[in-house]
Amino acid sequence: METVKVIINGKEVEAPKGKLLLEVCFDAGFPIPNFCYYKDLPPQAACRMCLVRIEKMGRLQTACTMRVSEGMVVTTESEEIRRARMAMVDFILANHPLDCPVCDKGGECELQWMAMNYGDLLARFDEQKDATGEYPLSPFIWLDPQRCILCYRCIRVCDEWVENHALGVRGRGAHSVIVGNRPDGTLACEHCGNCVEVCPVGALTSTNFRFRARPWDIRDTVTTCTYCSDGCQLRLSVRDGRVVRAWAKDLTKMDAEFANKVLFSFRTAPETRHNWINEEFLCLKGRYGNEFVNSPDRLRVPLLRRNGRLEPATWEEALKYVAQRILEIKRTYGPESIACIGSPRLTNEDLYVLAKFGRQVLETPHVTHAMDVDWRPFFKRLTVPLLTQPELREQMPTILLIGGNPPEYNPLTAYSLRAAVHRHGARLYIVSARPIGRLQVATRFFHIRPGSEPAVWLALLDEGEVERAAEATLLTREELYELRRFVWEADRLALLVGREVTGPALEAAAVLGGMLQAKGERIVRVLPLLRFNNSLGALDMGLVAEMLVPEQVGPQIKALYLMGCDLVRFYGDAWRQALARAELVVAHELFLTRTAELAHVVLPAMSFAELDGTFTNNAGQVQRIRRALGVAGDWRPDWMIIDQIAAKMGADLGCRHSAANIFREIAETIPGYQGITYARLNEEGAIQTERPLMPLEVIDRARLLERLRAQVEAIDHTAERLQEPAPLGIGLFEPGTLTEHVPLLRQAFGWDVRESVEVSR
Amino acid sequence: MEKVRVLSARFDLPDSHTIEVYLRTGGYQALRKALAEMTPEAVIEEVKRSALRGRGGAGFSTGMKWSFVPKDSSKPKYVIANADESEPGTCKDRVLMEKDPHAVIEGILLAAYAVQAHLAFIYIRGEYWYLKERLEYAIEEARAHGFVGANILGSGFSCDIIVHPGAGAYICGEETALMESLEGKRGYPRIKPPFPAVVGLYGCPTVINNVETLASVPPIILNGGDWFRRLGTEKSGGTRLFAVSGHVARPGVYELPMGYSMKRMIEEDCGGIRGGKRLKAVIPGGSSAPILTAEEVEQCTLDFESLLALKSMLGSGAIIVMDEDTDIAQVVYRITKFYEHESCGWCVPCREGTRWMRKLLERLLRGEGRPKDVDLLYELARNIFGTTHCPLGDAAAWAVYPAIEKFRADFEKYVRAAAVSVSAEPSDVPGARRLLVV
Amino acid sequence: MRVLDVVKAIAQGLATTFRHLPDRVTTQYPDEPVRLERRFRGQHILHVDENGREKCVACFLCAIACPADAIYIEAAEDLRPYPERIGVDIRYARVYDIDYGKCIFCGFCEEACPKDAITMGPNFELAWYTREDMIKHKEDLLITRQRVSPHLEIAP
Repeated sequence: METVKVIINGKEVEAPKGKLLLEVCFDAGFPIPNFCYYKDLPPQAACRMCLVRIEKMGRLQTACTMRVSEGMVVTTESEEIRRARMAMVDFILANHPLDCPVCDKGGECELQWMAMNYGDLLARFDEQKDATGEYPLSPFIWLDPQRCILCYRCIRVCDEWVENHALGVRGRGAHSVIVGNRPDGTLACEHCGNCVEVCPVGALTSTNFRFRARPWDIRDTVTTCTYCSDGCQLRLSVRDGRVVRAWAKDLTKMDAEFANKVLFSFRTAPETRHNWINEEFLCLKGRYGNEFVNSPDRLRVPLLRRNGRLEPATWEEALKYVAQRILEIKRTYGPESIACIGSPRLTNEDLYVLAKFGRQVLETPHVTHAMDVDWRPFFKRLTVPLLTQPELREQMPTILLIGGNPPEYNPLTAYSLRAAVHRHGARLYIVSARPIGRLQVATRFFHIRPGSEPAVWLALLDEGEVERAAEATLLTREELYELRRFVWEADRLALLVGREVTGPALEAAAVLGGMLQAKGERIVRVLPLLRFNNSLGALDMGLVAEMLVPEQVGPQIKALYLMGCDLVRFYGDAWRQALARAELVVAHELFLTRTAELAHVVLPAMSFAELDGTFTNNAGQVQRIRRALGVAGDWRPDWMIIDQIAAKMGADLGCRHSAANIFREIAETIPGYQGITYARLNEEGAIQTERPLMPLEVIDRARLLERLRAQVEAIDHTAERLQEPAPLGIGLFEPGTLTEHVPLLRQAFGWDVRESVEVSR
Repeated sequence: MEKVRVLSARFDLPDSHTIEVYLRTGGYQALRKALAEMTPEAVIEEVKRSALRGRGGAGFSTGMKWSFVPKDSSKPKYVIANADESEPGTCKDRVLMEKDPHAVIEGILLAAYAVQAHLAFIYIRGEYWYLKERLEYAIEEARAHGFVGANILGSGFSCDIIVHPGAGAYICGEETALMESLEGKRGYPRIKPPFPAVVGLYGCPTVINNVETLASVPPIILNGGDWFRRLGTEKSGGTRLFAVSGHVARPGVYELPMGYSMKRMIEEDCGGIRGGKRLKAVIPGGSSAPILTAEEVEQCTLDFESLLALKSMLGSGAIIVMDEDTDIAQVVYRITKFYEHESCGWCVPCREGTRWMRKLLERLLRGEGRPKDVDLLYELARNIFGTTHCPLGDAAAWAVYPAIEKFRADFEKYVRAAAVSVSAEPSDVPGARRLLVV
Repeated sequence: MRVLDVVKAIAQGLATTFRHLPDRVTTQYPDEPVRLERRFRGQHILHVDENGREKCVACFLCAIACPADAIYIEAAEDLRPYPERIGVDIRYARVYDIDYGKCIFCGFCEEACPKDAITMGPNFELAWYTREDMIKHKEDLLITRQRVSPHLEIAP
C-alpha cells in the first residue's frame, strides 16, 4: 500500500495514502475530539469538533473527512483550535438540557467528557431552551430530541449495519428531529438497538436499561451470546445481582483517556481488548434477550415427582433418586433402554460430560442432541475450512448464499455480508426461494422454487445437470450458467449454506469447496448457518446418535435423560405421550417447560450468565462464556449435576469440580480442540478449531451425485416461487424457550405465554 | 462608463419570451455558430477569455469551472442551471427567465456542448411555478425548431433539458444541496471535495451555473470573449443585472457594467434615496454579504475586487439600500431569523449558532439586553464563521459581525435602554425582572 | 521556696476548677433537649419541593460518593404529569436505603447531590436492637415523614 508522510504537530508520521486524517492522528497519539465520526461509517462532518489546521488551506478543516496526502502539515493543538472546539461545545450545549442526573447516559456520556475537556465551564447561553419531552420510538427505544446533538450516527448505523433504513430526520435546522419510519414517527424495524449503542449522548436510550443503573455501579463481563450460532461476544452489565443490559461497544476505539478514565474505571472486567468477531454489532436477542436469567420463573430447587405431583426436594434426595432409578432401569432393561439427549444451547463442557456419562456410565448408544443433529454428514464430508466472520467481512470478494434468512436467523452473518459489500465491494449472490428483505446490497438475486435448493447444488457440482436444475428451480439456463461461472471462476469464494439445504445437498455443499480448490489455486471457505449457539459444539462433543422418534419411547427406551431440551416444544405433542410412557424422565432445566412438567425429576440448572464454559460457533470458533452473576437459587451447573449422579452410581467422570478441568480433557480428546485452553481463549478471544478435512479422493462423488439427483427428482415441481419477503421478525420476534421469559420481549410482541404450572411447596 | 444592455436587451420588447422575438433579435445564432464552427474546447476558451465570473454569489470563473470537467470520463455528464434564486433581495433571474427564457436555454445548450453533456436540468425555485410553465413552453418551442433534443441543428450533438422545481428551501440554492434535492434526497450540502465538476449529480461530472451566468454565454460566443471582457473590468468581465431594493426612489433590476460606481448607481440610476434622506448603509450582495457604511459606498465600485477589498462581496448582485432611519439591529435580527429558518441542521455551528443569535437578538430588541450581549453576539458570529459545513453558516455570520463592527451604537442603544428601565424599577421588589444593572 | 511554688500552682489550678463547679455542663438527656449546632451531621433528610414532590432523581451520585457504601438506590420511571408525580422529574428513587450500620456521617452524599435532595439532619438518636432496623428506607428519611426528636434543639 502506498504510504505518505504527513507532519502532525511537528511529528513526522507515515500513513497509508487516503486514510482519514482523524484516524492517522489517533494512531499517532493525537486524539481529536469528535461526535459524528464513527469507524467504518461514511463521514458526516456534522459536529465540527474535529477541526484542525492544515497548512495552505484557508479555513479550519474537519479531520474526519480529510484524507491524508503527501506533505500535509497538520496542527491539532493550538489556541485557535482550542477556541474553535470550545465554541462547538458551547453551541452543542446551548439547547442541550443539563439534566445529567436524570439522563441515562450520565457517567458515560461523550458530551459530558467533551464538555469537561474541551468546553468552557462557564455557560454563556442564557436564553429559554426549546424543551421537548422524552418519548418511546418503539417498545425498546426511547428518544429525547432535546438531548440529541444530531451526529447522525444512528441513521448511518441503521442504514449500513442492519439495512433497516428505519431512522431519518424530520424538520429543518434547529427543529431537526430524529424520527422512525412509521408515519407517526415510531419505528418499524427489528429493534436491534445498535442505534442506542452508538448514540454519544442520552438521546436514544434502551427501555430495559433506562434508569436501572449507572456505569459506575455495574460490573461487566464479556461473554458469548446464547442465541444463534454466529456466536457474538457481548458485555453483560450486572447490577445488584441482576443483568441490566448487554452491549458491545468497542471501548478501545474511543479516546483512550475517556475509555480509561470514564468507562473502565469502575469495571473489573479484564477483557478490555476488543478483537470480537462481531465488532460492535448485536441483534435484538443478543441485546434485549438476556434478562430471562433474572426471571422469577426460574427453577430454584430440584423437583421430584411424588404421588403424581412435582414437589420440591433437596439435591441429595433428587440425585439419589435419579442414580437409583437409572441403575434399576439399566439392570432391568439393559443399558440400551436409556437415552441421553442434550441441548445445542449448553456449553461444550456440559455436553462433553453428558456424552461421557452416556457412554461410560450408562453404556448406551443413544447419546444425541436435539435439532441440528442432521448436519452430521456436512461436517463429516467437509473438504474446506469453515469461514469466520472477520474473514467474511474483510477477505472474501465473492460470496454465495444459498437458502437461509441471515437477517432473521443469523443477524451477525447478515451484518458481515453488508460489511463485505460496503468495505471492499464484495459481490454477493443470493439464491433463495423468498426475497430477503434486508440484504438489498446483494449484487444478484436468484429466485428459485421453494425446496429446490438441492437442484442448485446439483447444477453447481455438475455442468451436465443444468437442464434438470433449470426445470426444478425455475431459473433459466443462463442464470444457472452465470451462477456456475460466479462460483467456478472466483479466486476467493465464501459459500454460505442455509437451513433449507438438507440431506445429500448438504453433503454436496461440503464437497463443492474441495472440488473448486482441486481445480486451481483458490481459496474457498464455507459457513453453515446452524440454528443454535452450540450446535456445532454438540456435534463435536459426540452427541451424534440418530435422534429418537417418540414411538421408540416405551417399547424400546425406558429412561430419558434430558439436558436442557424441550422436546415437546421442538418436536411437537407426540412427545407428550412418549414421555408419559417412559419410566424415568430426568430433565435439567432453567424453567418448568412443557417437557419438564412431565418429568419425574427436574433439576435446576445454571444459565449461561452463571456459568463458566465455552461455545463453538458455526465457524468452529471456540469462545468463552464467563460467570457474570452470583448465585440466586439452589442451582448447579449441568456438568456438576451429572458428575454427582455418576458419583452416586459409583463412577468418576473426572470433572474435578471445575469447567476448566473438563475443558482440559476436551482439548486432549476431541479432534480440533488441541492446544486450546481457557487462558488462550481469554487472551485471543475466538480460536478456530482445526476440523479434520476429508480428502476429495475418498468421497464417492458419483454416488453423491446420484443421491442428489434423486433428491432433485423428489422436489415438488408444482410449487410456485414465494413473492412476498418473509415478514419482519419471523425469526427474531418469535417466542422461544428463553426469550419468552424476557419481560421486555413478551410485552413488546404481545406473546401470550402460558401460565406457569403451580408447583406445590 | 458606457452602459450597454446585453442581458436586458430584449426586456422591453413585447412578447420577448417567445421564440419568434428571440430569433428575430439574433437568438440561437451563438448556438448555430458554436455547433458549426467551434470545438467544445474553443467554447471553453472563449468563455475563459471573457472573464465571465459566476453570477450566483461566489464569483468563480465560469470558463475555469467548465474546464475542470474530466474529458475522458466514461460517466455521463450533466449541466444544471441553478434557478433556485432565494437569496433575500435577489430577483434578477426571475426577470431574466420571465422576459428572455430562450437566452437561458441557449446558454445551457452552449454549456452542455462545451462539456459534452446530453442532459441538462433547470432547478427552479418552487415559488417560481409560473416561470416553470414559461420555461417548459420555451423548451418545447426550441425543440420544435430543432434547438433542443436529438441531433441539434444536424450537428450530431444532442441535449435535452428538464425543468425541476424545488420545494422552497434556501439551502437548495447551494450547488451540492441542490443536487441532493434533484436526486430526490434531503437537501443537505455534500462534503467537498470532491467538487461537482468531478463528482456531481448521480456521482457524475456536473457543471452547475447560475441562470444569469448561462444567459451571458450566447453574447460571448457571438461577439467574442474580448468584447465581453472590455464591457467590464479586467478581472470581472461583462455586464450584470443588479437587483436594487430598499430605500431608493426607483428600486428595480438594472443592467450595469462591472466596475460601475455604486454611488452613481444609487444616485443616478435609482434616483437617489427616497424622501431625500441620507444613506446609512448598503448590503451589496444579497443578505449574505457584509454590510457597507455610507463612507465605504463612496469608494465602492460594482465588481468583485473592489468589494473584496472592502471585506464584503458582490454575491448575487442584490443591493439593499438603507437610509438614515434604519435600525441596523432590526435588520440584523430579520436576517438572522431568516438564516435560522433556512439552516438545514446538518452541522452544529450553523444549526445551534443561528438559533442562539436569533434568541439573543430577540431578547435584546425586547429591551432585556445586558452589557455583555453585544460582545457575545459578535463572538458567536465569529465562532460560526469558518467552521461550518457549507457557506450558509458563513453567510449568517457575515450578516452579523460586520454589522456590529460598523454600527455598534445601534445595538448598544438597546442595552442602555434596558439598563435605564431596570434602574428605574424599585430594585428590592421580589420577582423583579432578573436583569443585570450596569 | 519550691514547695511554696508548687502549692501555689495547685491552688491556682484548683481555684479554676472550683470556680467552674457550679456550672452545669452535663445535659440531662433525655429529660432536657440537647442543643446542637446548625451544621451538626446526624441522620439524613430527603427533601421535597414546594409542592411536596421528592427532589431526589435517583442519579446515584450519593451512592458512589459514599465512602462506606451505605446508600442503596433503585431508580424508577414515573411518566405521569408533574402534579401526579412522586418526584420532581420523571426519574425518582423507588428505593432509597441508608444503612446506619455503615454510615460514617461524613456528609459526602450531601455534597455530591446535584439536586439538593439530601442533607444531614440533626437527629442523632440512631440506636436500634437489630441490624435490619439500622437500614432506613426512603419512607423513614423523607422530610415529610421524619419526626423531629423532642430531645434536641438547634442552636440559632
